[in-house]
Amino acid sequence: MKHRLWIAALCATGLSITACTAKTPAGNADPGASSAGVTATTITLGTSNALTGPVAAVCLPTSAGASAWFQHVNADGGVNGRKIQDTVLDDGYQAPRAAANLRTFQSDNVFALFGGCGTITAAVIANAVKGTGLPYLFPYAALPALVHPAQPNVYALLPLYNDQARSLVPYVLHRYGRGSVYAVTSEIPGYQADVDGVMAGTSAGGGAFSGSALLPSVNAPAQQAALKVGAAHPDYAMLTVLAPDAARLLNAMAAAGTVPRKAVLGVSVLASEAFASALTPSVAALLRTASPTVPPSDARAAECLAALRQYSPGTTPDALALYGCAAAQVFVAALKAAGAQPTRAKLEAALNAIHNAQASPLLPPVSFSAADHMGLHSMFLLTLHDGRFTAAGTLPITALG
Amino acid sequence: MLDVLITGVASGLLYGLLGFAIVVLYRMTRIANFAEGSLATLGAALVWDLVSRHGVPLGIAVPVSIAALGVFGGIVHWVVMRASDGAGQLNLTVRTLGLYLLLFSLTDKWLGEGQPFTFPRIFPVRSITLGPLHVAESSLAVAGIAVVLAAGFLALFKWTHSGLLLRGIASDRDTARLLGANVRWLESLAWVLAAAVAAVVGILTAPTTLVSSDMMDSSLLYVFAGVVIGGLTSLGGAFVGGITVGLVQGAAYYYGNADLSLLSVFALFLATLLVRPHGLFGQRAQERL
Repeated sequence: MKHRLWIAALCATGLSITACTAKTPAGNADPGASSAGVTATTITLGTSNALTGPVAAVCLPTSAGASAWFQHVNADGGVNGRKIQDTVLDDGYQAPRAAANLRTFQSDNVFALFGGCGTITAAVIANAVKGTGLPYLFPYAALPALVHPAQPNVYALLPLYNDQARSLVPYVLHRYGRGSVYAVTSEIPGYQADVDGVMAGTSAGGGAFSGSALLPSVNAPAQQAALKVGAAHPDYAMLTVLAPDAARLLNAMAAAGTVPRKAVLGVSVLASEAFASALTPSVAALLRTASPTVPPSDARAAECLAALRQYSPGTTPDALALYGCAAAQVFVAALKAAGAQPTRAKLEAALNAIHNAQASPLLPPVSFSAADHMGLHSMFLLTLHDGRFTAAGTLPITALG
Repeated sequence: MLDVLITGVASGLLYGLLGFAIVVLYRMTRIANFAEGSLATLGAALVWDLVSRHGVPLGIAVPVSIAALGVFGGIVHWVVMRASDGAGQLNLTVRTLGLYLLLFSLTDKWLGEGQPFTFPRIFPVRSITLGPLHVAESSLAVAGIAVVLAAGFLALFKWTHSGLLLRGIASDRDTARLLGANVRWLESLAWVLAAAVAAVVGILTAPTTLVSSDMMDSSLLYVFAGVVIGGLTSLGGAFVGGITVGLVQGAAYYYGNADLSLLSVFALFLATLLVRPHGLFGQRAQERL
């Protein structure tokens, strides 16, 4: 009796509400639950993404692509009988709003944070989930903090921008001829590493580095930057900038007649049809970008395109939407491998076991390990013809590690 | 060097135009209108919406939007800004801040997901090349339009009845009222002009910045810097201040970097406030005891 009274007193204080209600690890009384965010019929995910604001045109399709694939999987019965429910909250590419969204997802006890887009917001979330055990999977952000050092619960698919630049520049110099390279970077976390990547790549490819310009993170002074690049008369301009700023800059370069002689090189964020549609045709023809996925025109994209048409018909089926779909496919593959009673630990073990696997038809082979949480070690080189991207080769990614 | 100067002057003239609208309102009402950038955004968004979502030809969408913004400016004056009893200048200035936030949110909601959007091309994408000099034709066109508008306003204020009344109210509101000027009506006219000018600036800026609810946010800082440098009470000073800011911003970015650009403009801004608190061409505030 005394024991019961003691337990009742504890309950009354409210200090151990979870223990007193005899819940499962999922935080509810569902017998089918195996982990937080998992019930007998659902698995809940949370996504913080820039649905509005300066990078929404780029980021919005990533969520639409993932959502389309999750709905496709759910329509086929889900994963081990559980439907995937992904809640997407808008962060407007603002760090405080991303932090607030994270708190919401933590209080909702989601199984994992999935996707999202933007380096600034990903930096906030990656820092906040350290040591929490809450998985943070595959944001569209080339952020060193996601993978260096590898955190047990954080996984990335998109190679870092500095690694993309370090690999793309020598590849293009070899393929299209040596020349001078000018670097343009956005003022985002780690931008100096991006410049270093361009310099290293230029050196490796036998080219000459002709300078760099830094654009403020939002609403950069495009006309002045165009003149600055033009003054160096480069053969190539390597852009590691946000897509809207790249569009402003390249159009200003076309208007001022300061377009590079041979090509404009871009990191994966420029492999977007929405971005390409904003470009002046004369500069669009010079674009060569790295991309984690095949372009929509590739036959391997058919399955995701069908899902997009069915479940998100308003979304432009571009490389960003395909990235979202591909990331969802990798997540579903790992979730299936995690077994009938998935937990966060089982999911991490399943991810770490993926080695050189074709986890998505859209991606190059994917590999993770306990020490390396960067999934892609090669990308596709895309060129633009008449407003449509086509794959022009496979680009091995040289990572600093 | 010359291309940097021309680009800086073109940017500066746009700052100057928006600053001019702020100064007109300030001289009439002693209110610094923080919503001027939102009105510019609204003008650009309306053109984009008419052209992209409704298929209206650009040649019709532009004048319709400028006229619509003018009418909207008048409505804003009558609904939001008319001073009720006891509402002082601080109250009215804070209202413009509220209006800025309200218009930002409404425009953001209206434009919806997927911002920023490509704005229809107004000028051809060509440049004029003279030896090492590259100047975008669009920069020259923007500069030309700004100069024509500035001359038009100069003529309006100097040679028309309404313009003279506006100047009269700006110089001495109480005396103008005693002499029979309809101050309320003329204040409305000032709001109509300010909103229409804002729309022109938004439309000229949008091809470069693309269309989004925050497209004018960074420019507005430079506009206010130009207004303070030129003098908050000087119509011509708004242009001189705007061009000064455009030149300093462009040259500092071209020869330095983005940080130096921002630093230079606001160092100049602070220096002006310290040395000439009323700006280069503004009138020293005088109060009778």
